[in-house]
Amino acid sequence: MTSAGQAAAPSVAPLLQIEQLTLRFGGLTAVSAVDLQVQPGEIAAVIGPNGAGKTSLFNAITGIYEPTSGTVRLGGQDMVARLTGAQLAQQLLAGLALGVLALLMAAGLDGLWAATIKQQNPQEFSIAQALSDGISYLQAQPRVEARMGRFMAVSFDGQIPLGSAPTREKAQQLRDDVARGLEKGPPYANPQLPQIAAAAATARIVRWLALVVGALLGAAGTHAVWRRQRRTPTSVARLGVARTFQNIRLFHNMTVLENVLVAMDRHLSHSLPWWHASRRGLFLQLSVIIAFLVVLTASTRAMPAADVGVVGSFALLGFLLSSAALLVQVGRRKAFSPADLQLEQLARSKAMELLAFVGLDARAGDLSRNLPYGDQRRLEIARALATEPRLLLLDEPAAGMNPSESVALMQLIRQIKGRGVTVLLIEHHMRVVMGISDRITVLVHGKRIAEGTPEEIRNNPKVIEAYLGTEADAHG
Amino acid sequence: MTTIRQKLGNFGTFEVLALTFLLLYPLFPVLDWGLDAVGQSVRLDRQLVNIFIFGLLALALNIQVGYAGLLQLGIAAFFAIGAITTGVMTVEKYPFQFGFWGSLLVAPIAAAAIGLFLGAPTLRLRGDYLAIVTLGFGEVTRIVLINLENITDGPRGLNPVPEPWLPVAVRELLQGSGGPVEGTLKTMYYIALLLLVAAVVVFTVLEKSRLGRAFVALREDELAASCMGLDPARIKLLAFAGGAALAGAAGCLYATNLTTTAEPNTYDFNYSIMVLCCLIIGGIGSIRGAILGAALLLGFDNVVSPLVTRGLQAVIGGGSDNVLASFTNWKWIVFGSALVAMMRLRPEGLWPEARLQSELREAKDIAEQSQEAL
Repeated sequence: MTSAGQAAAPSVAPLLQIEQLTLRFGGLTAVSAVDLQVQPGEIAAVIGPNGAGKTSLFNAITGIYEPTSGTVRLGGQDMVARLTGAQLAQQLLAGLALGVLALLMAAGLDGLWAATIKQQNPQEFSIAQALSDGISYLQAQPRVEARMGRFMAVSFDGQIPLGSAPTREKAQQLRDDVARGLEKGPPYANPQLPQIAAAAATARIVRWLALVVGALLGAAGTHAVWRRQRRTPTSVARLGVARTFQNIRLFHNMTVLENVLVAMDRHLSHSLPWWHASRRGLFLQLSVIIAFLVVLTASTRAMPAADVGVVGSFALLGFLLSSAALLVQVGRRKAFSPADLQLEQLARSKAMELLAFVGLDARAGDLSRNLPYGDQRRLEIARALATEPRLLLLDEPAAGMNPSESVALMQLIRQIKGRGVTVLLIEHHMRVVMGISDRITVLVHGKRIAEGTPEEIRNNPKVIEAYLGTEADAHG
Repeated sequence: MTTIRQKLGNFGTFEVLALTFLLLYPLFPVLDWGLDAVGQSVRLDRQLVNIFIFGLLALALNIQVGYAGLLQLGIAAFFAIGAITTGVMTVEKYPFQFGFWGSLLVAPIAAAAIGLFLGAPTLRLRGDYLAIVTLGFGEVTRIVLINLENITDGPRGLNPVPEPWLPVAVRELLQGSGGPVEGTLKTMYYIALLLLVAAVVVFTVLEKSRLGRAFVALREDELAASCMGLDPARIKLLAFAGGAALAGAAGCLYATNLTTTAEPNTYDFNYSIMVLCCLIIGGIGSIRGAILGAALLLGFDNVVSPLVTRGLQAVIGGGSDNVLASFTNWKWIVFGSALVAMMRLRPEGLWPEARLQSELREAKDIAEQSQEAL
């Protein structure tokens, strides 16, 4: 990809490319304009004295901190989730829901209910009538209400009676006449009419405003929340970046195996389409159960009592049997469907394989907090590998390890590289860093002061100065 | 024997015995016979229906508080929404008239929808802040329900909520030699019991499934879990909506059993706290604990305390105006002291879940170590 002129330059695109990354907390600049490139398949290291901003850099890469400025790219792509159609639809839907909610609050849900559902005899209910009543209520039109056996034309807020009639049609006629009376003048003109008209006009404006402003605010708010969530630890992890922590952060009260299984979750569930085999069976069974309930409800509503007996009994029996079948099937397993259980078993065998890889398979059933320190570090690595990362970030993997343990760790990191995972690590143990790294970046006070092969770094006067110091400022 | 064990899967002998006892209880109310023999009539099966419904509500809260670690202080709101949706969907004055079975479908959906609406913007809040939001939501819901008088009939409540439709033959079988009241009671008893069993089965499996694992991981270390690709917001929202749905179903049963949606003031803050107390007494995060807590709390309130009152009145004499002879007046003291004693002696609850017990012990160990260090 790159020009052939640069002989020493790597010929493939970098897996991780950090450009001018700055991270500022108030007045403190933890990371300042750092450039870092990690080539696919290599082991890169970041070293530097304590407080040099190494862990902050990791936190910025993994989405825990939002960089103040600069870019982080993985495989040439910005690590920021794109707006998909589904998300856009979700945001618009949230906007619509909030707009309708605001409209209902402005117009009065209670009044709407009284003007629609309560207007009709429940035995002869017509949805079309309720809809037209509802729309005229929301539009603040004068309307017809059933009151005490008669039909009455009333002002939009139901406060001022405009006249009454024995049938709905006549009352509607009356209402229309009164509405027209506004222009016609007497004999229809009610002295309060201009006032009502003005109030109705205001109400209409308020309701439209509520709908529009509510919808806009709702959509904009959801969009803003989504924007803030575009780059979270979750989304970064799902792009293929896994990490371990300087202070071990295992799930202490879970077993060793469960710790690894949690990290496999995204391959077990989230990345699967909703119609995946592990869910299909369950969805089908649930829809059968719901269908029986719907049939039962429909039959008890719509049929004379004698007919309900047959259809209803069948529907009820079907509902009970299908629910019981689902419960028995679920209750005997540790998962919700057979296909789900298969996935789970596959995950378990993969997890055991990973545990064997780090040498912890014999302790799979132990609680992770009962492991010795070195094993906990190895378990964190296994857990990170379980997410099937492209890039693995190791934050001081050798901290607290004795010399023989760190030799084993170096071996393990090389094997991880052998599995095709690119590794970026922070480490203080110089023997480890110099022993396994292909490239080393040196950070001091949040700035990159050197970058190169272990050999170049070892002889770099700036690095020696930073670590050993020329004055009394060194604490490496 | 082994084959039976295998067929039972996740469940032990105790669960099967308890279920058999409860299934047969309305037919052979042995405890009631015993109480009748000493001249006390309580009708334990009637109280058991309430305990089942309360148990369902406790399990609903357990999803949110126990599994997802969200301190929810407004569960009564979702219970009320379930009850009132059932009222609106069934009473004669409205055109829907879905009956019990239809509202058993609609009430959880309505409650879950409102749960999503509340949860989506607020679940980013942590601990105390979420508790305040849900507390406020519970109170606001109650007041809104009172004031939507055209829909909910305000303080009067919607009634009568019809009893569940059953085929005539089944209905007569349940009714037996007793009257229609007996038939209704047995119908509600079995429906509530079956729903509770279904909930227990689902949650037992859920705890062992990968979703259950995700809940534990999130409780233990949310940051580490999200760095492993779990989506905390989504998982919490799922727990919130699931809990709301189950509370809605419990509300549906409650309204049907009571034949009215009751006054919205019934579902007040105290109600939410009572449900939370069920969990604390039984053990937060524990299915069996939640049901035990519901049984103890309601059993104490509705069975033990009337019995003791009657006993006291027989011994001391005097009517209900004698403060000392009315144990009901003392129940809050007993209840409060029991909670204090629980916190002191067994903070993990009476029937805790193993993992949560060890989480609590770990916290205690750390606290003790740091004290020793001082």
